[in-house]
Amino acid sequence: MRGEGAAGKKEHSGVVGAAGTQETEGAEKGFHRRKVYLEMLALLLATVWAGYALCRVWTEGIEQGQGIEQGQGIEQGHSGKGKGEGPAGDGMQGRLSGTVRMAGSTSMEEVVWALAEAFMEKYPDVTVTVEFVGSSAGAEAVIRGSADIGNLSRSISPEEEMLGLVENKVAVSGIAVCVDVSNPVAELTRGQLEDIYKGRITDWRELGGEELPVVTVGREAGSGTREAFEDALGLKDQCAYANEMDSTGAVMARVANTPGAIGYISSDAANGTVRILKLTDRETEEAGEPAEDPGKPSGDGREAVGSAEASVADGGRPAGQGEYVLSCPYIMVTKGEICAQSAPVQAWFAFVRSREGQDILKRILGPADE
Amino acid sequence: MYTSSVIGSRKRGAAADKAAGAVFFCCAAVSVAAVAAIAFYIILSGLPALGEIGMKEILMERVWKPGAERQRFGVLNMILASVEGTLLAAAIGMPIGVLTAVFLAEVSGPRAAGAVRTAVELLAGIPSVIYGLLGAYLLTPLVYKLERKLFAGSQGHQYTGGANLLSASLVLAVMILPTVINVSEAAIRRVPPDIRAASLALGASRTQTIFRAVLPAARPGITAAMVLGLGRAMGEATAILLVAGNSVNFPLPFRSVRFLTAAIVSEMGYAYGTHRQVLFTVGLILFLFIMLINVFLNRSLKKGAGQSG
Repeated sequence: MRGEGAAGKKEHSGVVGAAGTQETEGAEKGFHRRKVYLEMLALLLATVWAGYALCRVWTEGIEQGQGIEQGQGIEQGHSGKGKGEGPAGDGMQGRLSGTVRMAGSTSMEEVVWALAEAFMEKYPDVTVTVEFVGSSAGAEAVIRGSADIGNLSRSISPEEEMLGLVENKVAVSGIAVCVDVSNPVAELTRGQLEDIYKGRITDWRELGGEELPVVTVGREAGSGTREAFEDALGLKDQCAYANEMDSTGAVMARVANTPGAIGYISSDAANGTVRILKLTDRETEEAGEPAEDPGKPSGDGREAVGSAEASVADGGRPAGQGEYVLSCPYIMVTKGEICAQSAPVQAWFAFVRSREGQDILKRILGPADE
Repeated sequence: MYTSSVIGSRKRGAAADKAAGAVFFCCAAVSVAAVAAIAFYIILSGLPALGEIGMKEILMERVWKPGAERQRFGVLNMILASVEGTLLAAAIGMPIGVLTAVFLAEVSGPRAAGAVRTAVELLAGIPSVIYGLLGAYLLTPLVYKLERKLFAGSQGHQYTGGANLLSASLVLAVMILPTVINVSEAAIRRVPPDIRAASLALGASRTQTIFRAVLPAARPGITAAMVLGLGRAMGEATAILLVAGNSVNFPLPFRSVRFLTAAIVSEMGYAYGTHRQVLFTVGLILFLFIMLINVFLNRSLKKGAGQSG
């Protein structure tokens, strides 16, 4: 209101001024302009400097804050032991309040939402916020302190461990290899899958399907699913992706939408829009496809199968006859041990590990998980 | 000096003047400060990686493997993809845009022009995600069909399923249309009527007049339209992310590519350490491109002003 009035007045008096003496007006204008430039320059420098200083203070603050947090975390860990059982125990369920901030894997979306909804029902005063940004971004967020829990669909890296992240394994999921629904191919061997993603097999005809180019769809480099997938196949950084998508959902959409596409997703995310391929362990020689050079897959290949089976055994899933499963762990990382976290976060983990939480996990990940 | 005005006394008027001036000045300073702060920050955070890895590797190497054991940070493929995609988009979008502008300014009646103009305005208001989605669901299957026809017998072509440089350029071409149309229409309208009259009087047909007299006269403005369109295309990320395939490859029309903008958007979330710094360098490169485009824009606008004035 006021500004408007002032603006109006200025205009009017300006008109009146223009009607007055022209000369003084001109001289004043020149002076005024110079002054404005000077002021502008000064303000600019001031802003830039202030911005820079602010940034400096801010980032330092964060670093220090992290230091303090860590220090406190340890202290809390000690004192927390006494009251630590509090939230996890029975008594104060209803009164627990606060937030649990989570960030991470897009493939864990379904699991995390199901758990979060049930959790918030149980603790109505606790808000759970979840961002689905990919595993590495989730870990990054926990390290930075912008999330309490990072959802990872892969194990944590040594660097992340060094930065204080602690791995809390929640479940084991499978990685499903999927194709579009019209694709007649029903199963692949390990070697075939490797060759597809290495770019050696480029047509579905070589796999017993119809003549159709293979479009390899994968995830972005920060994805936990991608890392777990490439690790399981021993293909780290060797995959030739035609498309790299930013989320599990995007992979599914792309595969569903593209004839001849193949992609990988976490198996609990799969829905009817794509068809899941059965993966077999034995090397088949079908459709005139000569067995891939025999030395290769048995070398680093066997090893990776072993590791897949090991983690499968870990999750309790039997590797069927000749069938094998690519698995990825579902991990919720925290900065420091769980007992050093805030009460809501501790309650979260207690909930996930409770019978209720396990039931939810079982429902989503399928009975195979038990 | 000042005569008293009807609105208020001289003194109050002067005070209000000063206050208003300060308000205007502050508002004007916001955008200047924003640009200065962005430039400052981008340069400050983009330079360290250049020093650490070396300008040569970043600008001249093609291998981009930020997650590997031995990290490689060659941005060249992405720079080429951005430049090529942008130019290709301009090559497709410019003729359509300029001819639409001709239609609006020279040919059409007011009703047809109104309809087209409404469509163009709508086009300008559609968020880029929507362009990307439409591109991903409508355009890529078509492009994939074309791809399969073209590469039917060829060995060693990696099929992209339609998510490639060509799709990205097509989407960008549509996205720059509103800018190109609006700016070139204004330029064509600014051409003095005498030029048309003279051309027609010399016996030229209407089409000849448009192509030989009006468009050459409007050239600086049309150049400005192109440069603005290039800037828009260069800076687009969201739509591109959905249709370009996003693998780092040497940019050929039927190759999956990653643009500079897409790299920043999709990797900044999880990047840390050197990788993060390199992404800021990518931002710096993008910033320099936009600056370059602006310099061209100013030059062409000045030329335009010089010619008509």
